Amino acid sequence: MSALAAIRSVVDYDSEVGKISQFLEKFVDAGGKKQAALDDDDSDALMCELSPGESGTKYVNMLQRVANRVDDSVEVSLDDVRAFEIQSSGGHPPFAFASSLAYRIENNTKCYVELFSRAIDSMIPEPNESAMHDPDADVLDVLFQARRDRDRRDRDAVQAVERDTTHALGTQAEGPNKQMLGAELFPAILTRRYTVRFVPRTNQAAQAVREIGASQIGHLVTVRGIVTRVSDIRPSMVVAAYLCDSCGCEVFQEVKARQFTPLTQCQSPRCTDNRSRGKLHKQTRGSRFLRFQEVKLQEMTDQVPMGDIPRTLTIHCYESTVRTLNPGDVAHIAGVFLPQPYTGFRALRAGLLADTLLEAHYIRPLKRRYDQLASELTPELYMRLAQLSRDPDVFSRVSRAIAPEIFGHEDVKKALLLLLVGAPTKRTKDGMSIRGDINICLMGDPGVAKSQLLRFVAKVAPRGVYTTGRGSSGVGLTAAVMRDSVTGEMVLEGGALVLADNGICAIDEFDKMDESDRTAIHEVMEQQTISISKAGITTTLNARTSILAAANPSRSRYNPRLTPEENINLPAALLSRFDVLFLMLDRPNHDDDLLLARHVAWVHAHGRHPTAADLGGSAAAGDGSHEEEIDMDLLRHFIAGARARNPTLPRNVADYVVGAYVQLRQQYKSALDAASSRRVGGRSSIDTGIGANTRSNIGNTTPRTLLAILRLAQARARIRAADVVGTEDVDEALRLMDAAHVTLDSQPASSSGIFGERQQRSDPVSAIFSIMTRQLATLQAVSPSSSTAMPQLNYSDILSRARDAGFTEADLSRCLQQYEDINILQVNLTRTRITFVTAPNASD
Amino acid sequence: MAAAVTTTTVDQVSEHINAPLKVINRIYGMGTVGDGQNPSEFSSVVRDHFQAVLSKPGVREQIPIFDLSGDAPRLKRGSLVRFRCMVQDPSYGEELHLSVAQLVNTATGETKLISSQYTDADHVLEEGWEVDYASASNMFTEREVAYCVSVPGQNEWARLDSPVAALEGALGSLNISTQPALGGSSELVPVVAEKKYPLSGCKHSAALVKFYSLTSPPKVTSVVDAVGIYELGRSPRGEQDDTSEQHDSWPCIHAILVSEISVDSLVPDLPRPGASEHFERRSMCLAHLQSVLGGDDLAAHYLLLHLLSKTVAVQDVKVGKLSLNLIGFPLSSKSQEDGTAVSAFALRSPATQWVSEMLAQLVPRSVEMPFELATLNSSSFLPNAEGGDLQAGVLQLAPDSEIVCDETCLHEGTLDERGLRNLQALQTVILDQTLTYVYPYQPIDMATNLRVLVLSNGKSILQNDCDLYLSDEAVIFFAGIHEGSAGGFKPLDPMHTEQIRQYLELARHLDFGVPQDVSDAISDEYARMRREAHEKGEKMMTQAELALIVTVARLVSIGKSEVELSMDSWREAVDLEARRGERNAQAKAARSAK
Repeated sequence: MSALAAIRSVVDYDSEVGKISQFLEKFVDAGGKKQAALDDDDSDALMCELSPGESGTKYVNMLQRVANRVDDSVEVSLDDVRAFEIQSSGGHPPFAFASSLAYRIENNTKCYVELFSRAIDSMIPEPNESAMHDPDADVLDVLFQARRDRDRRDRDAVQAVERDTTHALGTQAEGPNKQMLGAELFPAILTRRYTVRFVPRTNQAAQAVREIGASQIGHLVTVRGIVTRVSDIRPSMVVAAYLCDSCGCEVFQEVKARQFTPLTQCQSPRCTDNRSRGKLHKQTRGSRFLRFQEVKLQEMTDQVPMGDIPRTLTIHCYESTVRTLNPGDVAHIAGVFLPQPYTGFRALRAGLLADTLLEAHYIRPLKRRYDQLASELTPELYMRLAQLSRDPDVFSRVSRAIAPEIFGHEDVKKALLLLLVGAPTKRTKDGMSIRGDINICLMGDPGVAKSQLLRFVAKVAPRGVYTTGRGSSGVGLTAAVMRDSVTGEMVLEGGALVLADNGICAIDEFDKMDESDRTAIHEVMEQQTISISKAGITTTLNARTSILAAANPSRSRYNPRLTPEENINLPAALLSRFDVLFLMLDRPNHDDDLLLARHVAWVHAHGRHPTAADLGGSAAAGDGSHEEEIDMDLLRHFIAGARARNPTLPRNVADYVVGAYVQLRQQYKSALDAASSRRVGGRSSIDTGIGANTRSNIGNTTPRTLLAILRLAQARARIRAADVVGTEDVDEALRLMDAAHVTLDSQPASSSGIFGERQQRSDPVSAIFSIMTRQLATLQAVSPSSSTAMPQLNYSDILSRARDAGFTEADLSRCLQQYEDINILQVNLTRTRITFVTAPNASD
Repeated sequence: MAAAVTTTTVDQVSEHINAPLKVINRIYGMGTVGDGQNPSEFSSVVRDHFQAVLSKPGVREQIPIFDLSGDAPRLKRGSLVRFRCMVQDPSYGEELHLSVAQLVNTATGETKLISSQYTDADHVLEEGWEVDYASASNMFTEREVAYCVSVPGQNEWARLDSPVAALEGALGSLNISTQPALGGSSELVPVVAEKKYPLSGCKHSAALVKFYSLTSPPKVTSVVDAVGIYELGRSPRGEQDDTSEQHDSWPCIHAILVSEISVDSLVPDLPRPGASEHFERRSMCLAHLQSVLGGDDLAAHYLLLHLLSKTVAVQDVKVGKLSLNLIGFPLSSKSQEDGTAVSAFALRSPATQWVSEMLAQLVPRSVEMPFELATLNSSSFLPNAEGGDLQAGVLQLAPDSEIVCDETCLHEGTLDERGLRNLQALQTVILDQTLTYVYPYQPIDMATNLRVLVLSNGKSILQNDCDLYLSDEAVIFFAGIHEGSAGGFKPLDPMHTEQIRQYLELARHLDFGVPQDVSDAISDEYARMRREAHEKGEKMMTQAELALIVTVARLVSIGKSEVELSMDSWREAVDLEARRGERNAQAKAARSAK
């Protein structure tokens, strides 16, 4: 809302040109030597590519390359300008930025582009390489040579009065006729073979589209956003050339606006003197065009205030900035914010309105969004992060910030935090990479907030994608080859897994996934690529993503009577690829219920989520009476910070892991042995001790388990801000993997009587249940009509069958009682009829 | 003497209304011209001035209402209009304009300054004058531009009223058209973008509203009352074809005064009720709802709770919403193609119409949404900006709008992908109260505050917070309405209607809290109930059920105009829920028995 005050300070532009020339000539890039060694992937700010052989005068070298037609742009870094000024002032006194050249460039960029061009024009060297001697290489060069030759002949012949040649810049607008007299008087822009572009200071913060206003007109500003539309590249005329059909003069017209009125009458002295009214013909070959592209930039979701919608900005890209952006790219674009008065029909109304646009100078596409977060760190956030990392219990504190609206599930949240942070990906010399992304599967009863956890994680992760196993779009999870409706070409469209590359893919209803997608998931989860061979396109796409899956047990509720494998409706090959498998069961527990209810009541009461202190320092929350709330922004920054670390694994810890792993394998072996001796059951004996011994082997202990332990330990070390993985990290990793099953292991304790019997081969409860299901299957086979309603069985019938099989009526009633508890079946009051609530699979 | 004063005031008022720019230029002239008066200060001076003049009793009502649906040419360009509107698309963002421009006479070299606040068109320059773009006296200012449409689903009583409009309404009903008299072909006809109105196909007005020196930019779907200068301007987004004269026919309003709609402006004639009256109002409201719902007491209770519900966002959780599904409305026969179909968004079944009309009397904004396959498949519920311009979706409604869904007209047929997506969008609104704005590469979820009432024959295909089978009595009642033998229902007298409106509005805006001791007591009770249920082997209460009861209790308390949850309300809620469970179980059993 602020008004733009016109600049009234008078700047001596000639002396500015002098300063600029000095800068261009003398500036020595201190970091020039070592920059060549940096790899281009991570150093986006890399601005100069000096080869070691050249001298350090960065811009002289740059101009030489321009002269040699190697480069077509001169990129002037404002950092360099500033550095040079401080340098040349002897380092003292460090005068205010506001009075520096860099500041003036930033505030009046358009003008300084012209001043730099003038300075460069006067000092551009002759080409010193013969790479472009082939005259076909450049039409303009040939034309210029011809023009110069002809003009020299003309001048010799006419002996025209030499006019003042120093006004090359100022004369352009006045008319082309004056320029016809001297060879050097082509419009400067016609002969320039480069564009001057400014690279903003590195500490200039990127803004949102909405933050740019009238007060920044003419300034060099940096905006961040997502590219939504990109036009074709079109030529944009800057100098129109005409040829007079009576005097043969070439007339040039500089085009400064988007539209121009072509000249029709020759204004050359010869034609005006002779009153011949020569007609002008436009010459396309002689005119100068710039490559031009229009880009629409839209604000990112995180820049949009609550309840508002994103705004867009038009970006004009010229010459070397074209083709750097594609739709969907996120980029920092530095450019000059300009008003553009309406043209054409609208201009006739002398409108006082202006369209605004940004003329791009420097474009930096952002590749990794966690990197970008680091650049946005404000001092205030930095302080909060520092404070957070000083907390000795940072792990559990931050983990509590995950889905704060969901009560409890502390260990699940810890695991999810580890998933968000992940372990570093390792790349061996031969190009093989070992995945660092952690995959987690949440399996549990309906209504335990699995989906909410998934949604939260997908929201926190910068490239988080939330999808369901039955992906709603035709693209599905992997990728699809589609025919583009506009062009009719085949295009490859990425599905959720491809979109989540370098991010997290949260897949709900994992068990209901398409068979084809499930096959592809195997590859994604270990190799982190997707191979496609469809419609003649064979390709491998990257899918370096962590997978967070949620699945329901095979009969929609977890059945404690069955083994975990039977409950989990997923093949072992897939299960083993998950680092952690959590079972989340819904069991009544007075304390937990109480806390949960308090939580719900609190949300209603206060309109926000309670902190641990608010709930009266509950047992689960422990300490943390004066905790600062961790919002999503802080959480993201914390994760970004943690991801930047690369903890190493020292020898002794490696040995420790190996020891733990060997122990696990042995345990697994004995469990396998035990299982083979018993027909039913895959669960090892359970004692209530702590440590690795308590692991019940859901899935198998495979070499992948070892990697999983390592990954979890590394991720935890990252969270601790440690450079070295410690044994406590490994312990925590093991504990978490155990904790994943604690819900399961602790639950039979409420019915310990049965638990003891279950050890026997012929567990009566399961046996009777299988009798019932078999009976049901036969019934349904006989009369299919009954299968529509809830199937029923006759109590006495089942009782007699159970007796036949050698069970007592007490066994049967216990069986019924337990299955009633988990809502599988119901018995009516008079105990004559057994009704199945959920139809069991006949195969059981 | 006194007469003289009044006449000048009348003249002054009429000048303010008919030639506001003249007034503004006079105000500008009084300031320190030449030294570049600060435009943002200037607009606050103008605002205060107009506020002072227009706040006099009866003055505001004289300003014509901006209404394009009827007789737009009646609106004089350059005069003041009033517009109650919903911000549909604020992404036009800031517009730069030369608020102070220096003109230069090409012949004489003479210069002068002009102010162009509150206008952008009609700057026809006099002979020989040109804008000196290079002048240092020029001043660029920004203003916020937003595309605003008349509030979708605005009910008759909540509209701006003016004596003129009433007269015109009467004329319109007599079919006396006033338009041919003005039928000059040279008159520009204002255009509106049809795709930018949520309820496509419905009559509406729309304008680009330009806001000067707002403290915060206009938010999407917010409702504002704007008083400003009406002009026809150019479209800010038609960059490609400059030649078309169409671009000069975009209605624009340069807003001078902007205000939000308050409860008092909706029911201006009623004083705020005293504390003792709430109970009375509540029972009056309940009685009214009950008689409308054919004597179903429980349904009336739930409908009241539903009407009182308001979504309060808590980070990611939405609290206080209660979408309701009333089951037991008679199925309507397959829609016979009658040519008189007014709009796709009007209910046709008499029974559901009955409910919807009653609600329209009570809530300021309500939208009817028949679930007809054709409508579902053809319309788009989500706002879409993939083409660059934000096109409205049916669900882009102002906050606090009531959506009455009629599922009785849903018949067998194919729901295509679009229809499915539409239903899913509605489902998301019900469950999450978020609406996705489809932007390229990044869909944006926006928090909404919409109440959804689903009227259906069987259980709805949408999952609602709460569903309730109507009592047998009510089912027969609605069947009767459907057959055309409407029961004798005496309409509420206007005074009572006003009172109920005010009661609902006030209660909805209560600031509500749950005290610690009640929350503890609820927690204990929840844990106890779960334990008991487990011991008895019954179904245990889940977190979702608890949340529903707390919501119901909250709304019961709000209904009593309490600002805190009381244990009584909690018990009442538990009781209501128990009754609802019982009713539903019975109804289900009875239905399956049939």
